[in-house]
Amino acid sequence: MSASETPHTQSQPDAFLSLTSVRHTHRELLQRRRQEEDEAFYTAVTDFMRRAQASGIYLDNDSDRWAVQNLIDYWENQLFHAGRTPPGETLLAEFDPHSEPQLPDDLCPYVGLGAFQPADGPRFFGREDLIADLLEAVQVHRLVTVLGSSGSGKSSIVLAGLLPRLAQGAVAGSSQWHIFPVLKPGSAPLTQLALLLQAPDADPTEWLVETLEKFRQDDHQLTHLINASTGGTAVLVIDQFEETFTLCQDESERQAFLANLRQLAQTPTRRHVVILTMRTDYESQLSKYTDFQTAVEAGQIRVTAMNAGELRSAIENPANSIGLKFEDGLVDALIREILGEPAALPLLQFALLQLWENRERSRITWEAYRRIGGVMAALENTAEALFDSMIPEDQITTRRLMLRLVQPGQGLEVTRSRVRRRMLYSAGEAQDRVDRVLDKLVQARLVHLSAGVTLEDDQFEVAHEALVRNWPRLVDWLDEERVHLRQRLRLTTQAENWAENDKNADLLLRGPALAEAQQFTDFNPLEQEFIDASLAEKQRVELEKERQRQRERRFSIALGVFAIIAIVGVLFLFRAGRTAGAAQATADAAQIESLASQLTSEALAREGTRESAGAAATSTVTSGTATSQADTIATSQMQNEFRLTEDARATSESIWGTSTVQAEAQSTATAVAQATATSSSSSPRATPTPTPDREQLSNIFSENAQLGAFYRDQDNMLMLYITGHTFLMGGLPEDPEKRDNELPLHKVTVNDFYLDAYEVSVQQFAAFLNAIGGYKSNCGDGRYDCAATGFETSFTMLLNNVGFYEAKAGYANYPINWVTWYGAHDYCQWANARLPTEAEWEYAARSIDERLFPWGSATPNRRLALFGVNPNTTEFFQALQPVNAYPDGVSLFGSYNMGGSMWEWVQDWYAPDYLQTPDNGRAYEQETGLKVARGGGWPSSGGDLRTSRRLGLPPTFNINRIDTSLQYWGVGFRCARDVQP
Amino acid sequence: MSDATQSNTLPPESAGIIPEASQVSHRKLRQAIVDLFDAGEFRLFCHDLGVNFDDLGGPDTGLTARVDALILYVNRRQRLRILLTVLQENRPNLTWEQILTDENDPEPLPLTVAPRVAQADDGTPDTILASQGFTALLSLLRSPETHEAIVRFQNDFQAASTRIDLLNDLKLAHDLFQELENRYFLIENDRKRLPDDDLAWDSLALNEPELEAKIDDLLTLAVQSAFAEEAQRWSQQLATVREAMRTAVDGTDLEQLSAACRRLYRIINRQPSRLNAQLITIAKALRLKNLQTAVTTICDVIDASDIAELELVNQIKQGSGALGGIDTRLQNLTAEHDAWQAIDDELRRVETSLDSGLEELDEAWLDLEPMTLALLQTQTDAWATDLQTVLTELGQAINEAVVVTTRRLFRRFRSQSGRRFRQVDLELLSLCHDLQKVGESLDLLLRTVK
Repeated sequence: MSASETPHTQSQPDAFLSLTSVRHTHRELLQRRRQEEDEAFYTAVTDFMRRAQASGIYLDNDSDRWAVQNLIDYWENQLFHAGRTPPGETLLAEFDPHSEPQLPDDLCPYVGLGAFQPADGPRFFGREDLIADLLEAVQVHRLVTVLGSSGSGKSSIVLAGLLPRLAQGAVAGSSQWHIFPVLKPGSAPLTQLALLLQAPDADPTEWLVETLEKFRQDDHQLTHLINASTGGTAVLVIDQFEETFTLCQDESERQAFLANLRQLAQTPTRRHVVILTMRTDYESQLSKYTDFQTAVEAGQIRVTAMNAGELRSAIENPANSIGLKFEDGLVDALIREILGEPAALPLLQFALLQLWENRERSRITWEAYRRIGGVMAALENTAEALFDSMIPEDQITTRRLMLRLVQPGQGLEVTRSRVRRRMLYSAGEAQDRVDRVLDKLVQARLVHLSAGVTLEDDQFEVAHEALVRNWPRLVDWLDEERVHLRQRLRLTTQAENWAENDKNADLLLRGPALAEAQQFTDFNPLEQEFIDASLAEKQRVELEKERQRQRERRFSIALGVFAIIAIVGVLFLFRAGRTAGAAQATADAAQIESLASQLTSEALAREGTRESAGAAATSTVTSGTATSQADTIATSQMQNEFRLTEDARATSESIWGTSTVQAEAQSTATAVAQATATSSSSSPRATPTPTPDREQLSNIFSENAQLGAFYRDQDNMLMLYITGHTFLMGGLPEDPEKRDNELPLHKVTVNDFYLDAYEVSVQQFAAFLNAIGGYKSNCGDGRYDCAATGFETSFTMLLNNVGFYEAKAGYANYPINWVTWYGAHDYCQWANARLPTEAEWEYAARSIDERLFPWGSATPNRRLALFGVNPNTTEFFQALQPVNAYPDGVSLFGSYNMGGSMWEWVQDWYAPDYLQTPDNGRAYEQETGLKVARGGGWPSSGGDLRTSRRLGLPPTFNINRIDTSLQYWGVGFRCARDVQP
Repeated sequence: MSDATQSNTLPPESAGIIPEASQVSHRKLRQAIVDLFDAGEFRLFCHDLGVNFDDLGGPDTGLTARVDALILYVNRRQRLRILLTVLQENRPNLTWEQILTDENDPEPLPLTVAPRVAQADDGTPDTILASQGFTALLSLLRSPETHEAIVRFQNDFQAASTRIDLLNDLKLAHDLFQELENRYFLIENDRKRLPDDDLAWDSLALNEPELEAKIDDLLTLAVQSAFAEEAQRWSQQLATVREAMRTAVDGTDLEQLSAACRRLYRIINRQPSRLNAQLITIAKALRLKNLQTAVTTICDVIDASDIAELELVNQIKQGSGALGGIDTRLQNLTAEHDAWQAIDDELRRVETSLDSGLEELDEAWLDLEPMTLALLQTQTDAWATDLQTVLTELGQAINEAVVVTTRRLFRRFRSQSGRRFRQVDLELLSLCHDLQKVGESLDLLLRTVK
């Protein structure tokens, strides 16, 4: 548009602020035209054209200007057609940066961390396809479950997407449906139901008591109440349904709640609709309630990550509706940051809210984006800024409050609670300080406040689980709390173990373990007795030591006396050498020497340390017998304490002591024999004699792995022969990055086995899926999907071509990802193999030379492994590598990518530490809800590539983890096989 | 006065007879006017023909060029007979038939700016009959009763002539805008290839002059048309765009080219609809049936006055009847033209927003579907069946919200409905062109009456 054509611009108070608002009025005019074309209508058209023309001063985007101009011209034509004269100027006013409106705060188009509510429908965008699916689902099913990871937006889709549309009549007759206020189960779901359905004239207390009783007695009670209160179809939405399992502790209440819901959805007389939103990581909880699970399975909608177009819509459309603009390229940057990240929607909304608050007039700027630190850091920065601004007392209160609102579990899960204000007050802490801190947290939108009838009844909850994942300080607090809990649990376990073993004094607490236990105060009687006994034992030992020290002092004196006697004796003999009794004198001297040696050895054995024994042995002039004896005693003592200390490195050498080397030689020989029997193509080398040292043995094992290797028939995978051995499993003492769940370091013996040289490839997995007929509900005896939901998105290398699976072009030999544990497990079965146990996996990676990383101790780098790839870039695919990449990073046995590339499923259920795991190389079979993954993945940090690094992941859908270091698209696997089934 | 006039002191036998328009050689007509008349007389001709001398080219245009422009003008308006009559009246002694025809070198009259309309045809039977009726009236003008009756309806005849003129100009302009849009699409396609494909500039260098030529045609029409004053604004804009387009292509300036394209599109987007609206108004105001009533009344007068020339009287009566048929056809065509124009407006609006979503189409569909169905209601031709099929498919795609399919079907629908629109366009253009023959006869009659 040339200047000559541009009309004079001036601020227009009623000019449209955006293309969206122009379009909105334009569509109103179109609708109105279908009803009437009277004078008032044409006046409205003229008015629209004038306002639209004036809106040019606010529009700097070329395509927006063009779109508005076309609409003006369209209506101008319509006026001509109706024989009317258009208003004077129809050329869009020139953009005037000085006229940009100052958008008022209350126009804010973004919601921050909280879910969108039904009233937010007009500003909820980007989920049209999923909403269409939901609308279809509520017509077909009466119990619809919306499953998604935390932060996937499932609540918002239902609340702001589905419900407003139902109210508008998107489904035939739905405008007449009765939609109840959204319910969250909390710790007392039946109470919530009762309150929701309370008759207006009922006495609250009586109503609650009676209704709760009826709920428990009659599964149809909910149906009766709803039938009585509504005339037609009712819609009951239960948000955060997982609270039924996480917050509700009363099993009978839970069962009654589920039974009532199921009956409501199945009642034959009237058609009601129950809609649940639930986190996928709690989906497995449903399996305990078969009837309910069956009902749920029929109508499931899974919320997947938003694609780029949907994200753009979610960002731009709310902005457009109020005339908010983004500087060029900024929306693209926001999308790039979170594309493919399933749990990032709350972060995006939070960042958008921050950007809104940092806007310049009606514009979101790059400067604001940089100021908040981008999408991924905005939440952390805000939380940290708030925390830093607090006085120390308030900081302490903040920590306490946050840990009250979010509580860690035994594993990696956390429990998020809604807590009343009065419950947040604490003895010894000023209430006004608690109120002050709560206000600050609410104002910063980190905590959500649900106002109660009285101030004390106000309820607080963290605004979103995203806070738990993305505020490192809170993560640390939770970790500390988790360690604290684990120590507490350990104390209970140890006390019970002590009691079960006839209160054996050997099992009492000692040293740091006792000191650790003494920090707690809330002991049960057994624990109290255990602590008391441990303290008594400690006193007894100290007393004994004191006595011992006294004995030693006496012994030293005696020894000195003896030495003097001996010297005198020797001198005497020397002088008497020429005498006939010389022979007898020599015999006496030998007897004295022998006696001295025995006394020394006994004294040192009582001291009980290798160091003192070694020193003492060196200081003696006698034979090595005493040293050997001291070694044995020391080893024995340490083995007793093996499971009680975190630093077992001192025992490392004991595995290589004389007694164990022989066992290893035998083990190797057995392995060789077995390998020879198993593989006809090659034979591992026989262990040479004499007994080799560790380096020699490593070489033999390495050679055996290749000599005993063979290609598996089913999928042509190369399987390496892993010679079994005893090794130290867990975080190594010198490893600064070792985690609590890698402790204690303990001794495990694994038998010989075969292990895949490579991670299973996309092509191999595709063949498996084609063989079994698809991935949906086709693994784990048909109960689970073989791949995670995200598998269906663009972030996979596996393509589903109408039921036929194949690798994306160029990715056939790349590792498969998105695999569920059941998918991995079933694949290995299909391939006549099995998943490796956790111990086998660690042994295969660590080997007998205790490697920190599969390749050794070298810090991970790009030559050794694939790791540290930013998954938030859309180009991450280009960084992935084939399964046989990184030959320099192979393990001792020659297996590729045991560090990096993909996290790898193993057989074991996840235990929070190694206190109860087997030491025979078998899998930990106690079901914990999480399976173990090993080895780190392409998005991981270098520390995740450590051979001891372990991760607990939900076996079916691993996208809701708390630990953000793992990206769910980075899980694959390799298989193992017994040498002798 | 020229020498040629002075040399013809006695009129030859064939003097006073003017040739048929189709036999006139453009070269000889131009030469005759330039040779036989001076500039002052030429100005008077123009005035007599209702043409502003200054509009025939620019201020520096030479006489020959102005003569050419006049010939073009009268030819487009099919008023050649009047020009020849004026020439004959001013030089009654010359043998115009001989002067203006040349069997060896006919050089037909230049094409008008509506090339797709056959120039040499005589029109539809109705328009021929109507034209012949008015010519017959002219022949009976010597009768005082007839003269008196015609004078009584003189104003009606004059109004009809003027409106026929305007109707024709509007339709020509509408048609030229359509052709301009076709040229614009070529330019726009070239522009879209830039900046990635430098060869697009070569293509633009070929297409841009074609576009310019079309703009020139429109500018010429705008100056000489019966709606010159109203056309002034868009003709100025067109002239500006033409310069900008040329500069952009010459200087391979993509930004300037894009700006010029947008400005041009905006003109194309608005003016046809406006011209259509005016055309509908004029078509309704033409009231050929009133003209028919007037001629019937005159016939009654002639019948009453016992005029013996029955053949002429019959021609007048036939012409009167034909006017009714023309009117019916004109009203039908303009109504359909109007309906297609309304659909075209909707389709244009949707097209500009189609790439950013289907919302506009969803909304427009509520109007588009019934508008199209109304037009297809009574149609059984192949085009209607095809369009009905696409309409149904498009409706389904919109309901199913299949974006890619919807876009594809929308564009197919636009293409097919556009083809029908063009067909109606051409039929209306042809009718307007034929009507000019009636207008010419009316003008001759009025001229004689005056």
